[in-house]
Amino acid sequence: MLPLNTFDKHKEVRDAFRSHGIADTSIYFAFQEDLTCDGHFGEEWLAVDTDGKHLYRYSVTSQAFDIFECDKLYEPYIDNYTTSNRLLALTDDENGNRITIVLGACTNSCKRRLSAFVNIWDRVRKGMEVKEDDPIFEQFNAKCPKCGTVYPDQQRRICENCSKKKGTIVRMLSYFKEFKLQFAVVLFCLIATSAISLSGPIISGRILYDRVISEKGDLHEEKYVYVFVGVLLLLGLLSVGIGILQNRCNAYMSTRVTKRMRDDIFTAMSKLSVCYFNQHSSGRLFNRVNYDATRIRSFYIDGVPALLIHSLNFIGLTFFLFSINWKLTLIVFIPVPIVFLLFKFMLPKLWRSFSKLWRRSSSMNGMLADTLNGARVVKAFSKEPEETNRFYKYAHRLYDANMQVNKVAILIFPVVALLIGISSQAIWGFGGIEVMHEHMTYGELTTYLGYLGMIFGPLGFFSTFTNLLTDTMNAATRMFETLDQIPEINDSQNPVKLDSIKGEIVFDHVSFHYNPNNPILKDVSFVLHPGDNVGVVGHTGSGKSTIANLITRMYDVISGSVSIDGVNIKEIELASLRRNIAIVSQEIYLFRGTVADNIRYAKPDATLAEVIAAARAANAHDFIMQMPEGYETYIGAGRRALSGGERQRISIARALLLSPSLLILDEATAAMDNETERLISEAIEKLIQGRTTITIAHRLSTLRNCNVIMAVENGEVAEMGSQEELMEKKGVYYKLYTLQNAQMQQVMQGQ
Amino acid sequence: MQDTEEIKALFDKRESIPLTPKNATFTRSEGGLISLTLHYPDKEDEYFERVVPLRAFPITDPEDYISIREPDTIDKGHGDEIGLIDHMADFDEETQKMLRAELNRHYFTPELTKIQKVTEKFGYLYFECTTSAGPVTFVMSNPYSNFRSFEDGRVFLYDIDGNCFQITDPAKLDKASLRKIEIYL
Repeated sequence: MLPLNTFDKHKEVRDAFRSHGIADTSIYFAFQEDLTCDGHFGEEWLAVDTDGKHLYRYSVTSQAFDIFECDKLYEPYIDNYTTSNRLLALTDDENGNRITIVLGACTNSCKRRLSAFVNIWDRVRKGMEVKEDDPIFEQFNAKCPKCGTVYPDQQRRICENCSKKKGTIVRMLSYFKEFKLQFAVVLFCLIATSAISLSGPIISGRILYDRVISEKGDLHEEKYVYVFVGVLLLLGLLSVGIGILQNRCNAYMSTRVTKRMRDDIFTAMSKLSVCYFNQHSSGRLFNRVNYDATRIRSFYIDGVPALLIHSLNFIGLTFFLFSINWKLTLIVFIPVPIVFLLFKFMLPKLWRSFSKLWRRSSSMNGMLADTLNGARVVKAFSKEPEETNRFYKYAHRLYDANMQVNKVAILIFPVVALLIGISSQAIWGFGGIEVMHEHMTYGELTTYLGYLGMIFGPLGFFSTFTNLLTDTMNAATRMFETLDQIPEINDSQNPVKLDSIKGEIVFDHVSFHYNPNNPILKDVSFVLHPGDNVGVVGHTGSGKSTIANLITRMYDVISGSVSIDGVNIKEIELASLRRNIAIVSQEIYLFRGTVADNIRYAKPDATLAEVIAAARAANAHDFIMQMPEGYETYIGAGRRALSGGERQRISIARALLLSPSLLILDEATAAMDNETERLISEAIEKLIQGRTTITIAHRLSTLRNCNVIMAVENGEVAEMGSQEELMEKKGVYYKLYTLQNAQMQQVMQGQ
Repeated sequence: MQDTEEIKALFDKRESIPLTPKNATFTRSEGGLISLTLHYPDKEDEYFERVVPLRAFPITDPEDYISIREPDTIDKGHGDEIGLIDHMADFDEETQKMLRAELNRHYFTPELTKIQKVTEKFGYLYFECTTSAGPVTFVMSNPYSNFRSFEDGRVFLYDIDGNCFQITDPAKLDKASLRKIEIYL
């Protein structure tokens, strides 16, 4: 059985098939669905037998078993709905009329498998053989390159095996490995700080009061007052000094650790394939680089030391409190659980209010950005009052959230302060009586009260520590998820290095989709010869740009293969592949920098003369010279506004400078007037004579120099040949030509 | 120059018409789907073995503005719109029921009736629930953006695969279920 879904872990399914006289060995491939045909959650199986003659459907939920003859099913088609998918096919009823029937249904959870099932079935129906190592199975059986285990969740390519071995916490610590000395210093500082803060009350109470100030004290002399006040002062200074030392160490570590984490995340991200960036919003990715690294850093720099110091203090405090007077301590500990519970239950509420506040303020920011960026449209439709009102609404919601935070905060902290106040009053009372009965000294009482004030700090910290920990763990998991992500497109084991390419491109039964819902290319095959000047035409969304994306291997084919000069592109070293191909795509991106920097982006060592020559060929030289600082004018994000045609010309110059063996122009001249377009195509013609060019265009006039025209429709190559051949054929190209010509005629006749 | 008739024929696209009980009859097809017969005053009836209904406003107005389309096919790609039903209520009960069933399958959004278990592990929520379409387990990432509340109190939950579940009125859930999701609402 092909490795799509197998009966291996489904004994009851295997038995059901056997009871209908169908052995596992006679099943070619099978698919497990999670919806029944009547639209309930359930389990159903579709299976095709080895000769491709029968389709079996078995419902685990209702035990129903259906057999369909494949010859009598036509055009199997997946109807993709918003959240569910249905497999339909045509068949004949008793009267010979074509009817549509439902073969199966599934939720989005298994739509990739459903689409693979149909893809395989389609090929089998056409008499092709599908083998176990077909590329279509790669998406379900991607393996960890380190240990070779299949990822449990194919969408999140993280190897549990490899990441578990090194727990997240340990892994985070590895960023601090090189700072052993600093860590030791920080640890020492922490212990010292704790010791100093614990010794303060002892010196001021037990020694300064009981032994010096008190008349009964054995050191009852004026000079000792100076000595011990001096000691207290010194300890104060010492703790400031230690604090400075600790902060310096922290600052040293934290800036470096954060930088290293950011570097790592960015490096890992930039290796990932295009589809990763399509799936994740750039806002979320920014957050990963910025927020997550900071979060983790602050956990280790602020959180962990705080945990240590609070734990040390807490243990010390409890010890001293009990050792001074255990009876009083029992009284003290009455409000402790109350305070702890208060923190435990009220603080999460505060956190939630804060997160609401945060979300509202970010939605207000979003609204602001939206309105300010669209200022031109707002003004054009004179919608200023409405936008102002909208802003008031958002601002009011923010105000509400702010109020809520304050209400909760106002409630928690005074109550805690009150409880602490009450317990210290109680200690004054009970302690006073103890002192009067001479069960303890006055100094012991002040020491005691000093400690009491300190014990609520650790309590507050402990109650929030779990939240801090989860938050950090989430950030860390996200960070490692990015670091562990395996780029979907990778060099093979022994990639072929191509110094130059001749430009023979072969598509062999290529199928492709970005989203299983929507097949973009269906079983496309064609051959382009070296030196061909190919024009690709077709409707929007017909799959033209996808062909370009597959040649540059921005994506990998779902099934079939693409080869250049007889080598499967999966075997070609990515860098050498892309070095030889220049693509000017629909989406033009100009980086911040000068015009010259943008033109030589792909070839930073190009001479200035080369830059000018490329700009000339792209017909960009003249308008660049019109700019105030010529080639050194700053362009890119928010700098100088260039028109669509100017941006296109700069990006064409960028591609031409590379002097590629294969040039792909994807709607690269769409924003230009006909005259400019003609000049550019003539210049390109001269420049890359004898090399393969692929031009994708809507306007047929763009393709006048092409010797081969390929018409793509609905994900298939509808026709291919010279312009004359296609005109004779009266197909897609003829339609487009007639339409554009007719429009032209109408304009000329003044209709 | 081609004659205009021929060019027109090349680019002919079906024009959408308003559908009312007068000009449209919906019937259950043999395969359990929906068939449509269009009646014209001036020409013969037109029969569609299968049509696909779609909602223009699936969230706020699921009963009105239903687009009736030809099915998508491999050969022709996306189907054209045959017509638009302004108000489903204009049609008889039987038709409404049939259309609604098909639409509900399209916008498959099971109602969560009970939440047995929600566990959080590193930012992913694992749900174990009972729904109007049977028991289900699903995984959600980033709960704060995948719980979507509407002004009428409805809540949509989106899982990592893009499936959607709804809670019409969270206040009507049993206490134990509500407590598990309360903090995300």
